[in-house]
Amino acid sequence: MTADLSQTRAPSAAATSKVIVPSARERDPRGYARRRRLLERGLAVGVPIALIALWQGLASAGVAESQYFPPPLEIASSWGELVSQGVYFESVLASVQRIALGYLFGTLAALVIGFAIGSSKLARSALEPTIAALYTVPKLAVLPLLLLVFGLGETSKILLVALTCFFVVLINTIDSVAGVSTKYTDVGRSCKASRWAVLWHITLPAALPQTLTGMRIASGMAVIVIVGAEFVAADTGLGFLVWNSWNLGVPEYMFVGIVSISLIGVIATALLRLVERLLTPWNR
Amino acid sequence: MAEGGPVANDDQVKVSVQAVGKVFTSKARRVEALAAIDLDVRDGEFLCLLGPSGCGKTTLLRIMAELESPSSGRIEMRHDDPDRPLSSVVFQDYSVFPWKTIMDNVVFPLLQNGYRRREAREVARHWLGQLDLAGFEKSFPDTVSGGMKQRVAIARALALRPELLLMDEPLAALDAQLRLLLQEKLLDLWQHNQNTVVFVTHSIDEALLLGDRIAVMSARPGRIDTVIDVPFARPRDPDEIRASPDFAALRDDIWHRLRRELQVS
Repeated sequence: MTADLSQTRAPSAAATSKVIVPSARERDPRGYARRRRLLERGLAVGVPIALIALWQGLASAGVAESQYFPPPLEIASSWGELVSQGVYFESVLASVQRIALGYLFGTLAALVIGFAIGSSKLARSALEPTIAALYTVPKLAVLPLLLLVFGLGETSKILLVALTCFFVVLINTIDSVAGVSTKYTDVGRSCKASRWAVLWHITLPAALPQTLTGMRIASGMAVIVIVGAEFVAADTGLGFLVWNSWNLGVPEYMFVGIVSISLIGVIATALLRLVERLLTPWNR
Repeated sequence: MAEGGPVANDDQVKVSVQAVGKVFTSKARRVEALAAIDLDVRDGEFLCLLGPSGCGKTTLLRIMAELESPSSGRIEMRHDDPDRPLSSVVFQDYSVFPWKTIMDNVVFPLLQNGYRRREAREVARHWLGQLDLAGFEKSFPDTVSGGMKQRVAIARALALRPELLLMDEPLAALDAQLRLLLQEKLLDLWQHNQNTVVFVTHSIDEALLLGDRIAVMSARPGRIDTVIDVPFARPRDPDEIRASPDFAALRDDIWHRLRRELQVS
């Protein structure tokens, strides 16, 4: 032991010195941040483009079966066809309308009811088990029942979307309202604020971030469920377009539908992120 | 006894706590937090409730603030001026609303107490200035430091001009240096405004520096062990007081009492 120690202390011929100086990033922080941002944005756009290009290459090289996986350029020209026939915008409009109306009704109802239930311990004890049971029912499984009651019209599909959104938003709203810290509500009580003032100035904003997360998740689920409904119970909409293309054996149209559906999902999520940023400016 | 400084008038009792007990009952446990507390808070005095964690000092304060109901006994509080609220509270760790700007945090309780918005903003601006927060009115609390957040909480309570200011370890979450600075700020503000204050703390130094009297509490169940008169004259100079031999002697005395308590429990 002692021998080792004395050896480490003695300067050896192989000794080097370690010098620590500012890195490139520290010397030009602004330039670094700018290059970094450019790189990140470039990747966000570049990776999907590269994947599509790879697909195109594989298809034209004959590696991918173009009967099932038509090359992207062909899908694009089919897209043009559908647009010029007027089918495309009709389908998009039909789906978006169902999603928007169902989402609006379901979410608004859930916000109001969720707030009421969340702020009352008794209401939670009475209703939470029922809500949990109803939440787990796959909403698509209720579609036949809705069709039976409301027929093949728009009502059944809008209701299906509404139901789907309702439970997701409801559960998140109840949780967020019930979870508001008493350290905030105590401030309201101690300065003799009215029940309404506490609800509006304290409970609502404190619960808002988690509630908005629920609303964002619900928007994605609305898109998923409407496509399923349009497969079996519609003669318009993007889901119908995909399903019908299978019947007609036109995979290009199928892909146009699939890509459009996912674009709607992306746009809906982006919109709700914007709403979140506007409504909760304090969350950085 | 204090000489020269504002001494609380003995026959003017602001808050009279009479045999107040508090029992918390949960599923399996029954915890006696307070056992028959008797305590008078005099008009205009700065009373410190000092004791180890879990001695029920916060519970006693919360009962005075009507946030908790006593299990037994009664409290009488004299409300002199109907135009001012009886009490307001400064809570432990940052209870400022993150979703309101610093200005709106102070404005909110004012609006709840009948102020018009214009008036409320003026009052808020004044108190934010008093707590060296001018220029931060539009910031959100999470963008400023912990010490500033707690100053917002103090401004929020002071702006109401309560007859009784209840403070629950308002400085406990701050680091030692910041704490010293805010103690001096509080001392300064109180010397100018002279509300009746009940101040919960577990710091002996803080109690000696700020208090007219110190009610030392013992733990489980919480009782008032002794009430000590703090002999330092006002206006107080923090550095002078901390350096004085009386300060050291009193701190020693209180510490020995607390230590006995801690060893018993």
